Amino acid sequence: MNVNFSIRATPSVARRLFHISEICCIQLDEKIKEIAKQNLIPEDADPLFPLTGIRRAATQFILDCELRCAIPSLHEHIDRHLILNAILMFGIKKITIATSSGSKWKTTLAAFNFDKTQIITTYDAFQPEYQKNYRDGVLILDWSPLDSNEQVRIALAKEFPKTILFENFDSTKETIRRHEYCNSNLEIRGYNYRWWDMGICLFPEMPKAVFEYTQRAFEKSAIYQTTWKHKSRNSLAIFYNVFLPHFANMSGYNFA
Amino acid sequence: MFVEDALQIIATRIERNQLGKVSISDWHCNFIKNVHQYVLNGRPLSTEQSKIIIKLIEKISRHLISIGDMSQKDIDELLFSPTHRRIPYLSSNIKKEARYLGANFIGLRFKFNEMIMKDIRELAEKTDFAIPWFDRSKRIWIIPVIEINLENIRLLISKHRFEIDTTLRDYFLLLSSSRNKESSFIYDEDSCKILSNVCDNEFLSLWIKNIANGDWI
Repeated sequence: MNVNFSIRATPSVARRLFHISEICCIQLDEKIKEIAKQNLIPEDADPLFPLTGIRRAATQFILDCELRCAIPSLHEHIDRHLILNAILMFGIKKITIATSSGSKWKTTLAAFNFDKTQIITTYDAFQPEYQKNYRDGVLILDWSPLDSNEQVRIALAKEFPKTILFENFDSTKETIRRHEYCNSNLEIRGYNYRWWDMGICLFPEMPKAVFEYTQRAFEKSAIYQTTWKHKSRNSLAIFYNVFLPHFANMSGYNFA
Repeated sequence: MFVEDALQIIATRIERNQLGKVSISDWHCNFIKNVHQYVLNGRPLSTEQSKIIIKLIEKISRHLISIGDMSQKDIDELLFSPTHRRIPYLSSNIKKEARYLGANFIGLRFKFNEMIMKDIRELAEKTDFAIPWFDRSKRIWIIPVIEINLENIRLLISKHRFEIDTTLRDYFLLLSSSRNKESSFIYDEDSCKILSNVCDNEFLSLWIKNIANGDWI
């Protein structure tokens, strides 16, 4: 198809376009590449840990997505501290955390100076009294398959324009993740992480069913080989504001 | 002879495949079958339906006389002073029109037709993010055009003889020339915005629209 758009020329959009240019065939003019280099976070923006490598990429990504994104903890450096630090850097001081593991969040929150915080269950997050005065803040939705279903999450993400989905893996998965998740071809290694379930909660208007089919059907229906340079479907996470560790090695988020 | 009787004769011949060498288009066959069914159900013909039936009779009159279904007198009566068992109602004159609405949407206007509806429903089955919908205020069907349904849309327009204008024709030409072409993004100094031309890339269009909050221009 052929369609013309005008988009805000912000560094965050430019960075994501720069990233997308590695996935599909698009031409970016030099000025956009220059814009992409603006407003980068400094390495010392986190008082506790130096922001380098994947920590810097993930933090930058959260800020670029204006706090509406999904951050699965697929790398040892992606943790609760990183999420909270990014929120603080964005300048938001009200946080609602919908989780079933409140004590872990409490410990992490102690290191930060937020004005208003509430740690509640996913069910409570629906209650008007918990939403009142907090909608202009951030909702961190702990992504646990047992906590709630897709429709509940979609509804909650609609209530809070700034929603961060965060999945923290248990220790059994931890050993796998450090070795397996740092590339863009996860499914080839036999471990297929369903990141698009998170992406759809944030952007239900984006296509989902295509991911349910085999890779071949997926390419046929939404993505054409000529345009997409035969990239794996994990490359598409950028289109859903889902951060995967291999982003740290790609244009836009590679600070080396 | 009434027009309804003539319709009965032609419909029976079509049903039994007994029209010999006379060629009738598929569209006419379907039309006769559908209208015949209406009449059997006790409904009157419309003025336009009656006209089409009479035109068809004129076209195949020789054959109908030769096989003894009608006489020359019957044919003349039908052509020059047609009479109906039930008074035909006045057809509403809605042209079948297809127009390009911009931003990869095509609008279809037509009088309710079950066969067109069936084809539109089939378009909807092909994808979960480009579903056609009916705009009640403007009384048109709006069809999002994407790679997967493009050929079916073209087929629907030609099969049901929708009238198209030069804008839609130019749009189809543009689509043909956009195949496999790279999308481009440039920075516009005047508006301080990024202007993009996205070719042949549904996914990127969706991202720009839904996530980067881009505006169609």
